[in-house]
Amino acid sequence: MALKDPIRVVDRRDLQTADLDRITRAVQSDLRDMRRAMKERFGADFDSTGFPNPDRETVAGYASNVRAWLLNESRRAKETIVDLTTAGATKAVAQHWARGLSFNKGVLDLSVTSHPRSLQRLSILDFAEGAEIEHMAMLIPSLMESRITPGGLLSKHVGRIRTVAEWQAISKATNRDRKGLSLIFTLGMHHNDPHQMLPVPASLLAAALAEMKRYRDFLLKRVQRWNRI
Amino acid sequence: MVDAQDRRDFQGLLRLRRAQIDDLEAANQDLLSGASGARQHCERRLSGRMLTLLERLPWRDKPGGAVVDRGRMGQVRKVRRQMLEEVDHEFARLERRLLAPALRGGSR
Repeated sequence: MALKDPIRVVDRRDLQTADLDRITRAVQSDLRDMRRAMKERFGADFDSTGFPNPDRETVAGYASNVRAWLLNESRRAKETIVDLTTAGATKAVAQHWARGLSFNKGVLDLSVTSHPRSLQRLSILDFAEGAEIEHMAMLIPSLMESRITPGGLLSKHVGRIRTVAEWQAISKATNRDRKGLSLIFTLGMHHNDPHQMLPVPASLLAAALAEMKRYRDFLLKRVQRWNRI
Repeated sequence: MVDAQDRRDFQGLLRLRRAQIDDLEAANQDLLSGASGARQHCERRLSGRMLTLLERLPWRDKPGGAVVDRGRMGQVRKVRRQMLEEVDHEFARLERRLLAPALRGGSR
């Protein structure tokens, strides 16, 4: 029997409490601001990209990452050219290199999205702080659900509800001794991590714990099924 | 016992937030595919230029295959310089494509 996503089968309901209205308004306006800012700051080519607001540090971080990638990849290409023309390589070898010329895709991908993702987390954290919401639930984009692996960081934490202080402690611990550090103040756990957070108002904590348990169980059951295939 | 209204409210909030997160991730994927397209374009152009320039090197036939003729190092250096300049040129284009929007916001 196919597993049913407990979240997707629930009808959309009116959000009635004052807390929820505040959150909804803030998040929606946050997203509207993001889109406007992205258009203003990143032009048509980057029209709907992930920079939520004109945050100078995020833009600088993005530029720094991309510059490092450009520098390293162009250096590698130039070193290869020097080697091919001085170290006695055959013409066939040189042509083989030129035909298959490629640059590091994985590192570019990490360079491009790590800061936008951090900023997306930061914007919701800022909001939660302003709204005096202490608890946050970890969610991941649907597209990334297949990245959950048994025993991995995502399977350990996805769907859990913890206080911001608890998440920060986990973030610090998971970033320790790693080369690709994430931004701890955005609750990142490693470089380019895809998770995002949902602020949970205190008045809804009991309901949230029950619902997030279902969400978590659903995801982990699916991971188990995928791993059996 | 969880209050039914609370449950409905939270489910609504969760649905909304998940939709927003998926929306943001779609934007991230747009950013990735833009960067990926620029990278591939650079790879293709540079590959073509390198193949053309390799033909201009002075090759000398040997039993294991043609190798650069070390007796004509002036020509080798000239072509090599062109190849290196071509890398700089293509990476400058790629940099403009990837960074120009970000640079408007300042840099570190």
